[in-house]
Amino acid sequence: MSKRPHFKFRLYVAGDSPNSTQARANLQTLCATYLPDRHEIEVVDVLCDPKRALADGILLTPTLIKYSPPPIRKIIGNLSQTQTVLTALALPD
Amino acid sequence: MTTKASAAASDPNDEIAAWALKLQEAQQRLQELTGGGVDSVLYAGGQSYLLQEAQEKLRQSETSQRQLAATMTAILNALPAHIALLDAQGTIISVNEAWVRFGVVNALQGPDFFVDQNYVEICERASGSCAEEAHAAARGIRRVLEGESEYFELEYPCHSPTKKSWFQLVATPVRSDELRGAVVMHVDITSRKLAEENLLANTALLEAQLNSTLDGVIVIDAKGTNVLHNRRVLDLWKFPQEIIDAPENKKRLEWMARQMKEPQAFLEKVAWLYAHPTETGLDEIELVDGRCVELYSAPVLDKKGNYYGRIWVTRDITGRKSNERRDIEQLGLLRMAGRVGKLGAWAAEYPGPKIIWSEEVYRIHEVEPGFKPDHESTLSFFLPDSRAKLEAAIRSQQPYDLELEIITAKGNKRWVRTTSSLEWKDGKVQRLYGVFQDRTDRQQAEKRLRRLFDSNAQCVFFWNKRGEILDANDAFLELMGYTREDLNAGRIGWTAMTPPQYVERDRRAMEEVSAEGFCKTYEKEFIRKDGSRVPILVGAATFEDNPDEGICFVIDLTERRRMESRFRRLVDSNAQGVMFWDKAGPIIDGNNAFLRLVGYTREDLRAKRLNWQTLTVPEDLATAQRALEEIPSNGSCAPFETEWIRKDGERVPVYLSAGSFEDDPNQGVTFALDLSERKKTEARFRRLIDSNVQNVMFWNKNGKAIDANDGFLHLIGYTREDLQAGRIKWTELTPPEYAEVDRRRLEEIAAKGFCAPYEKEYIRKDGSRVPVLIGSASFEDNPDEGVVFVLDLTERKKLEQQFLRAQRMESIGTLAGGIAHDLNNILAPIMMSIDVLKMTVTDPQASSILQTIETSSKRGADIVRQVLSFARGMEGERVEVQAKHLLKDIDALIRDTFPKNIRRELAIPADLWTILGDPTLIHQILLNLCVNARDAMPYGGKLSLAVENCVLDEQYVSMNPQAKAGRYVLISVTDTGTGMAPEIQEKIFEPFFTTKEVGKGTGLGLSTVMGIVKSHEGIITVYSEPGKGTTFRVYLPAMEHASGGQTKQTQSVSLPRGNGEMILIVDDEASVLTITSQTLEAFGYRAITATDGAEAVAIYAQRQNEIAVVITDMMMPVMDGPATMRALMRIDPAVKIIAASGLSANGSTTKISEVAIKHFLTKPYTSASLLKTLRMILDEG
Repeated sequence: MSKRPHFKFRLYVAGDSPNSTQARANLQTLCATYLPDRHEIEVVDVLCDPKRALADGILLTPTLIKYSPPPIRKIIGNLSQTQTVLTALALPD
Repeated sequence: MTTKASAAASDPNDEIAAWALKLQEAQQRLQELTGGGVDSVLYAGGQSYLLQEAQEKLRQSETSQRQLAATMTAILNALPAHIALLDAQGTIISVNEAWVRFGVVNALQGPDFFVDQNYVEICERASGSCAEEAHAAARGIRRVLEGESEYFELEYPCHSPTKKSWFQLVATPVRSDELRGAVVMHVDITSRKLAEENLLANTALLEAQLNSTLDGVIVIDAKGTNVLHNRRVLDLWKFPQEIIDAPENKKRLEWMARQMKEPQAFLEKVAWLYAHPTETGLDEIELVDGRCVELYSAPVLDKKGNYYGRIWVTRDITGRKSNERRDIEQLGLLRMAGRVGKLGAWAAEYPGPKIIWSEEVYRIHEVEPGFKPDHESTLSFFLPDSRAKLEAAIRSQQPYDLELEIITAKGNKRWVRTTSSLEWKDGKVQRLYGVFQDRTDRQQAEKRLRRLFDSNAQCVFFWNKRGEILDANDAFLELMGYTREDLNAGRIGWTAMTPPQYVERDRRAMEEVSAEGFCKTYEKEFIRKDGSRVPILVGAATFEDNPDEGICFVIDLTERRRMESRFRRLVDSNAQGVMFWDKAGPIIDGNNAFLRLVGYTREDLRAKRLNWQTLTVPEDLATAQRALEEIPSNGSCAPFETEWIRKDGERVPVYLSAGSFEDDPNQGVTFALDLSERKKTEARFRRLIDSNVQNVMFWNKNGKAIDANDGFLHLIGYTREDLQAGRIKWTELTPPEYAEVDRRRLEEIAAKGFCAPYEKEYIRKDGSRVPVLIGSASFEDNPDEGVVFVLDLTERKKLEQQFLRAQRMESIGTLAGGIAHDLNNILAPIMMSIDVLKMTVTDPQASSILQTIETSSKRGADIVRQVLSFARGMEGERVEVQAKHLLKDIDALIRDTFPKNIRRELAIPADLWTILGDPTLIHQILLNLCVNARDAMPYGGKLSLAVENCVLDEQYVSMNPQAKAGRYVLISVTDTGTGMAPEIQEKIFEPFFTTKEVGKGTGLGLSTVMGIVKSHEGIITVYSEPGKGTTFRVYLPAMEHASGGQTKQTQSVSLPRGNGEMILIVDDEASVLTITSQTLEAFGYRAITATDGAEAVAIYAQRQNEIAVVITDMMMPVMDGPATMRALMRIDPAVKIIAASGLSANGSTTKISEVAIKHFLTKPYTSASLLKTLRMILDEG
């Protein structure tokens, strides 16, 4: 077997808004299920750090960005559609 | 979108509205584009624009955050804890109100206790009383802040001058995203601390208590954990440590169970208790090691009443149990004693409440089964007064003995006696126990006793052992002559009243009383007040409850003594023989009369040589024994006759009556009457009876003839067998018409003892009647029996008849004489006239008629003459008549006038005595007799005439009482004619009695004859047998002097004597036997007699060698002459027999035709004919 890659995520949220909250939860779940011990999640609240959102070219919240493994992927929404998200992240591998 | 048109005059409101609209549209579109999963849009400058929903959410969250914050704050502020939030350095970020307040209140802390101060540092810098704790707090908090610990806690005291307080400091980290720091909390734990202190104290106390108690205690909580236990429970159950500490109670219970005798029962109980958590259990359990424990289990509830757990208390009751066992044993013993002595027993714990009662106590209280006594309930039975007394006694803690009243469960009042003893242990009363007794009966008995006492029915007094009289009733005082004052003054004592000679007896009685409770009665004397002595019978008994006192009754024996002395005098008077005997035989005492009677001396008596059993003749011993047996039931026996054997061996007849003494049934007294004299009298009397001089019969009231002499038996025609068989009943002998008379006479006998003689008749066995005169008397000693003398009146009756007849005849004669005279006077002219007429009348017819008239008149004259001679027959001239001539004359007449078929016989002896009489009349006799004889032989026969001298001696007279002894001339006329039946024979001499046809006879013939014979003082007898013939014998007294020398026959001719030959005389008439034997014995013979043929045969069989001749009557009942003769001849064919009979040899019966009777005696026979005939037969050889 090939070594399993380590996933890095950054989730842009807007405070406790519903979708944002959902996205956080869903992401946690997903990672815990499919990427145990090989994920990192950073949550950036645009209400607190608007500048970072711009830097990353984020337009809408919640937006998830997978930095690694390449390719970099951007997923917008609350991540409720699990299968879509998994496919987008090329999971399971 | 164009909005510029309206820019100049545009209302800012309109613009706003337009932009709002755009905003809305933009929102919608963005929403559509992003599918609802987006919250915000970021635009240049990095600003994010929240979409509507997110905004909402934001607003909401803010609101709720605010709310939350407010709530949190409120909570924080409400908490009794002082809370401060520290940052990572320990600086206070925020505090709650309490913290503030606390700081304010505890101004000591100063204002720097608040926000922005570094709490940790403050604590570190602390000094003073709390310095130690503060430093510790600081250290702890720092650790928390640095993440070294998650929790820090510190309790510290913070006492103010007014009160004690404790606080607990708790520090916990805060690691949220925004903040790293700690929360510090101060909690006021004063109350808890106080409670803990209390609890500790309580616990200590409890433990002390638990450990001081003798009971083992263990508390198990609901889960089964051993919450608490004391040392004792370990000792008791010997729990190993691991068991006692075990979290599961099950192990402990199993350990305990294993030590029990019945583990299973215990475990089941436990299970039940746990199933019923609110129940308590109390069990006595026996352990295998012999101990006994009481296990108490109860639920433990907390303050609110909820089930917390269970407490088990174990108490070692081995000691108690053994006590109880002892109690039970004692109870068992007591129960037995109770049953025997009706004592109840009880035992009670002190102070209680347990009480044990024995069965008797339950019974006394009449309680329902299942009743369990305890202190209170037992006391409640007593009546108030009694209860008060009892309670006082119990309280006194002294043994008590009380008589009290109770009301039983059934409502009955009872007197009871309760005694108690105490059991001490360690200086304290542990138990009371004692005896319980129903005194009701005794109370009643005492009341009754009192009543008896006061009734004075007996003399009674109460005494004590010291000799005092405690109380006495009036009867006693009266007997002793003392007053009640004397009693009350204590002047009366029973020892003082006793004469010296009884002191020993009294002492023995007292011993008996002490031993048995009472003594047997005994005799003694008391001395009265006046000094006189009174003989008394005393009996004493003590009281159950006080053996030193008792009761005594006294019976005055004065009367009895008097009776005794009278009796003694009677005995000593020797009016009768009296002896005192013992049942077994010995004669204890006797008076002189008795000794004389039996011929013994007083020495013999004293030496105890006399014994009534040996005195009594052996054959009466059984009777005497029976009499003895009668005595116990009746006190005496019926008197009886017996014989005693005197000292000299002679027997003496005695009449005994005996009785025993009331007080000693084994001894008695006998009165003995000497019957010797009486026996003699009786013997004489007996001889009289047996002599048959009179006919005697002994009767009893019931009609039975008990005894009779031969004379009586002969009179009534019964045999001795009939008598002995009891067949003779004088009531049956008596014809019915005399029954009434008999009854009246019996009454007379009952009243006077005898009755006047009276006449009656008896019916003989053969049915004929015999007239009797009887005189009867009863016996003095037995009025139901008596004796009667019976006189045969037959002869007298006959005489009476004859006398009557003679009277009749005389009167008739006189009458006839008178008539005859008249008739003669009538006839005489007729006959004279006929003579005359005969001469004048020639007519043959007339002559014939005249002849007829003459014949008839002559006949009439004949009759008249006969009648005259009949009437005149009583008178007449008496001359010396020689009967020879008369006979010759008659013979000639017969020859000439009687029918030829009648043969004649004439017997005339050479010398014939002369008769003093009237020849004509004698001629008449002969004529009448011959005419009758002729008439009796219509077909012919033989007519015999005979005449002879004859001496009628005593012998004859005894057989024919009419006669006088002397010399007679006997004329006999015998025919062989038809004969006469006995009934006819009786009547033939009656005037006008005839068997002839009417017209053929006057009926006067024989009455004339009888008249003539009687006038000559002669006798006429007739013997007749129907079909055979008749003999008339006429005895006419001969002249005394012999004349004409014709009487050569000397009357004193030496009649032939005997030589001692034994003659057997057989005749059913006792008189005949007697006279004949006397005659024979007078003339030198020996005679034995027999009354009937059977006896004769028996005697002859025995003594045939001695007997020379047998003279037997022919006419005997049962076995007549001929049969007797035949029987005798069978024994000895050569037996010499003389047949005696009334019939002459000529008229002998055919019965003896087999045997020729050689020797015949005609009855009645004279001595001469007897002796002569006897001599003849003897001389034949």
